[in-house]
Amino acid sequence: MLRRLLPICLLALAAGAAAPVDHEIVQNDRAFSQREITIKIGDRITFKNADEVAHNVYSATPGMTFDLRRQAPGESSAVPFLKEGTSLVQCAIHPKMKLIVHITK
Amino acid sequence: MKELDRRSPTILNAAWDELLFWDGRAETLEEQALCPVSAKDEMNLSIRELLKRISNIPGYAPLFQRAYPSVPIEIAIARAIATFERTVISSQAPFDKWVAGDETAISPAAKNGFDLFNGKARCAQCHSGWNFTDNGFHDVGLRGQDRGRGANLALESMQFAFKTPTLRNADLRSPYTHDGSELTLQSVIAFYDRGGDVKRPSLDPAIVPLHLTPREMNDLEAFLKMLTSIDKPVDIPVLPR
Repeated sequence: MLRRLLPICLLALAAGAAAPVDHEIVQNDRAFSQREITIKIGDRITFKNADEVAHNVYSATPGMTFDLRRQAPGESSAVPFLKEGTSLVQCAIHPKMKLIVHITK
Repeated sequence: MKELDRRSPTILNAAWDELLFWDGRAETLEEQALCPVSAKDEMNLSIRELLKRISNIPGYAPLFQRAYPSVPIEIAIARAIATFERTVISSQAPFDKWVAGDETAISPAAKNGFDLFNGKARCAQCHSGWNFTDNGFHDVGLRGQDRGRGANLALESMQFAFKTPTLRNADLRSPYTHDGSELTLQSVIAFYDRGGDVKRPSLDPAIVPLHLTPREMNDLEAFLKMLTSIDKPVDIPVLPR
């Protein structure tokens, strides 16, 4: 297996491309597990609802809008962040839930 | 002044609110404070006219100067109203005495009502925490075309969604819901027991038929009445001349 992966890894290094990283933010007790997170362009954040109630994670930040719609307890959804900048992510149902996402090069 | 489509939301414990108004369109009490003044269907008074009237009352100037030196009068008015609103706070209710250890503070029916509140009746899904509100927005299945939060936030879950009110002192605040369509606590409980009146995509998933027995509904009401505190009356101020 390692022999098979090695050429692919070397190819990626040669191209200078960093593989996108998956991050996780958990919703519990009507709060995000973090208030801020810094990620790289192309990284994804998986929003996992570990709460007992539904949430609706979204962002209205211009150029970075998304809407995960209502997430039932136990559900997860991943969001790629493809643009440099700062995005404010909130829960529409519980507006005290806020997450600032810094997306860097 | 005509009757409005929405009833006045309480300002009780609003100091802890995240967004103001039934539809959450104001982010702070300061922002909220002046909206009813200029609203056409409410006081219908332009801010310019408000400033003129306040400025024509000599007694206000030294008071504003003392409380808000060097702050423009319009901002000072909003801050003064918001600061007053933050003092409207509920005090200890029989429920709080029970939580603190006084087993005699509430009846066995009310204690059973509290169990139902957190369990079968699902009330705590939204009416959570010490103030019995998640400060959130939910479509609970009321009739009507008022889109509530959805008019400001175009997400499906926010259509027909309104802010969860505190249940502190709810017994003193009839009628209930944003449109005042429920006149008693009993009728509110009956509304939730039948799972609301309208089924639509935005309906909160917590709103389902509860199948409460008449006794359980009475116990829930008994519990809700134990959230009423005897609060210090607000002193009526002597207005400046």
